[in-house]
Formats: sequence, structure tokens, C-alpha cells
Amino acid sequence: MSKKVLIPIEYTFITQRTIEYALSLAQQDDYEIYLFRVANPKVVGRSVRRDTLSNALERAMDSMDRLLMRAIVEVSKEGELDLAQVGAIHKRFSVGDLVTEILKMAGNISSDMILMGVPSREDPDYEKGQYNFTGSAIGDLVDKAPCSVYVRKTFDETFILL
Amino acid sequence: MSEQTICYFCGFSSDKLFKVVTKLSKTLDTSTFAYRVACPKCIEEKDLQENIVGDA
Repeated sequence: MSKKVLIPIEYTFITQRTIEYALSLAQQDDYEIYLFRVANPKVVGRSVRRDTLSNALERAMDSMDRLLMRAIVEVSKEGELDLAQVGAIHKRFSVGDLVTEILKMAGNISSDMILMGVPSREDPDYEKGQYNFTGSAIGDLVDKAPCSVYVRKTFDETFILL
Repeated sequence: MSEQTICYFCGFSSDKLFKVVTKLSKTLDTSTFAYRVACPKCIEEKDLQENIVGDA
């Protein structure tokens, strides 16, 4: 039976690096990858334009595809990546509290591990504030997660098991 | 690397072809990808510059 890896998605470089790692993992063993984007309910529907839930869903799916595509291109450049071996990669989208939604999804898919990329302080994404994976959110997640949570920071190639 | 000499998209035969990553499935919730060989013209038309992996 294949192992399920859940990757909460933020539009940061370190998330792309995390997907790259998951892809190389999926090549070596039987892994199913789940990309999961959680949108903040305050952001969805707030815009003056008709920014409905379905718009938010489509935007999230497109962004996840672009991130995934960039990760595949990067892994392919490093060496030969056999895409047939990797197979289907699932995408999921939800609106709500970040930690609650990740926990719900991890339970729903019976996730074996959660892989997260978190920007370090030196990361340009950190300065831009384009992330929601704060220390308290990760701490909360680690406490309640039904599986292992691996966190990777920018400029550090190792994943820390929490 | 593939030894194909024909563009997957237009069938154009050229000695200058690139290996690109393309999305296969059109469903919202699942993505599968494959490598294709494409000519510079199709790469420009289909906006695949970012998807180039290397020379075919």
C-alpha cells in the first residue's frame, strides 16, 4: 500500500523545494503526494470583484500546478526523473483555519506524513510576509497531528522530524 | 534524453528540439505530467519556456 504524503502549500520557494523532495521520494518508493492549499476565509470573497469560492478554488489549483511544474522541471534538470514512476499527484483545497484544515485533511486521507516548507528569517519570502506557517501554527499542528510532521527551513537541506 | 526528432505538438521535424514537461490530466483535483519534445515555435506559442528541462 502506498504511503501518503501531505504537503500544505504556500506560494513560497521553500514549498517548491519541499515538493521537489517529495518527488524524489515518490520515485524511490510507493508514495502518493497530496498538495493542499488552505485559503483564509477572510480573503475569499472580500474582493470587490466577483471573487467567489469557485474562483478561489481555480486560482489555487492553477497556482499549485505551476508550483508543481516548476518543481518537476528543477528535479528533472538535476537528474533523470521518471514521471511515470511518480504518477498522479492529488490537489486539495479548503477554506478555513490553517491548522484545523490540515489536521482534518491528514485524517481524511490517512496521511503517513506531513511535509512542510517554512521560510527562514533570511528568506526573501519571509520578509514579504507571504507565509502563514508561523511557529505557533506548526507547534499546534505537531501536537495534534495523527502522523509525523517534517519541517524544512530555507537554506537547510535537512528535514526536522517534529 | 529522448532521441525523438519530431515536435509532439506540430509534427515539425528539426534538429533543435527541447524536452519539456507538460500536464496530462485536465481534472481539477489530480495532476499527471509527462515529458514531450517540442520545437521553439510551439514553445513560444504555448508559453512553455518555463517548462524546458533540456535539449531533446
